[in-house]
Amino acid sequence: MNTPMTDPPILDLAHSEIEELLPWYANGTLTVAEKATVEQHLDYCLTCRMNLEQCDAFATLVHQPDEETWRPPAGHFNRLMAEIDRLATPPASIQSAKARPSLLQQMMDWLWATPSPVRWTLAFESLAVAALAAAVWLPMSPTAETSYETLSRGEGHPTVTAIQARVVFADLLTVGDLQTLLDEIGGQLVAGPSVLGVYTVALAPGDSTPATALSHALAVLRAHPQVRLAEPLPEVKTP
Amino acid sequence: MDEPMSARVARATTEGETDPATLELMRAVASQDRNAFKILYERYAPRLGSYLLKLLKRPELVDEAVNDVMLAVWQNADRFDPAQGRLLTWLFGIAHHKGLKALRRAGRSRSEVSFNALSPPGNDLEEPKEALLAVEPHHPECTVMGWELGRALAWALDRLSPEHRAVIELTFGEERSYLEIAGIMGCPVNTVKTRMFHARKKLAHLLAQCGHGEFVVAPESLP
Repeated sequence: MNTPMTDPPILDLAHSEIEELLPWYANGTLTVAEKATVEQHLDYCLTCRMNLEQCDAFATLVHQPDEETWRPPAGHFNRLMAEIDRLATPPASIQSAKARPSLLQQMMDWLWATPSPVRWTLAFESLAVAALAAAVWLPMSPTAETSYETLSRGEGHPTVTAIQARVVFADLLTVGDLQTLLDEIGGQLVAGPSVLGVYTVALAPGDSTPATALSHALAVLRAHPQVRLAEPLPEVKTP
Repeated sequence: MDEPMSARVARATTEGETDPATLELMRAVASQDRNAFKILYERYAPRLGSYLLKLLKRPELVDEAVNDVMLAVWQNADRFDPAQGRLLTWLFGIAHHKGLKALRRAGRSRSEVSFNALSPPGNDLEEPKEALLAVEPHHPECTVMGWELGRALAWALDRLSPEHRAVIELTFGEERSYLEIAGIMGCPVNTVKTRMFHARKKLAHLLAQCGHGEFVVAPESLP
């Protein structure tokens, strides 16, 4: 008699291989071919029938109605979602590293967070400090070429000093008297005082001749009560 | 004729297809749809939690383990590939992995010794005979003969390694195929079968100590 086409194929499995399949024969998850093979083997194998009984008994036991079950405790899902939200939010350290505001931005934020009176006071003080700093620094900036001169080599000094006189002033002579005296003779201090207290006065002749200017100057100087000595110097040429 | 393993895997995959509505649900979860995730949670979390309760035998660890599982589902929903197996198998795989991780974590915090007493996964291909008989023959709890069978089973399961407990639970409790269990546990099919062999033998031995010798199959009948 021919086997119907619908009969499942019988696999060529050893006893041990079939016995290994018995737990899954018991739970009904074998393939059609495996199931047919096991069933054919069970027909004549007492050991496998005993093992199958054991598997069935285990399956029944595990499926007992009072078996342990787990039910979600109250709020379990909400806690899970909270955990998901927490993980979705990057840690604060990462956030700050990702978008750390500039120093200027931090200062602006801090400034806007302060009360208005405090803010205006700080602004005024800052402006005052800035103005002071500008006043200190601006004159020192090299805005133009500056020529430096000593009292004896100033630009306004006579370039021709052919007429000079040596003068010794009294200690009581004031600066004001000295300036008046020099204006009167048309002279300027170009050197001194020396170790002996001698000043050199250069005379500008003006419209008169040098000799006239010198004699006039000497006369005025010698007439002044605070002048102890007034002598002409030999003519000196300067560049 | 021996059927090639690849053909059997392919057929089992086809038989275990995930229905279109569930696939749609997973797609929504993958796109971070919270309502879809809540539906998924309500549908599967109790079942996964019950499995974890049996695997861990530590009720205080289960809530957090379920939390870890569902969090992993939320974060990796786009990785679920229906061509690789059913959704339930994928979920059980995550639960199994998270469960063992929770056990290791708890074992470290409580006592390294207690965890070392559990059989590590993957080393039971050639499980020593001593390990099968490692149960104390005169354990005080076993002296009370004739325990109610359910209580005896709970006691016996508690003394199996997590891997052995998992294969018993997934086969008889969750009615998964050996191919699915291999996927869930992340091990070869032959390892699943070997674990099942040793788990049955040890379980029968433990039950016999509690006065239920009817589960023991004559030694000569075992391979």
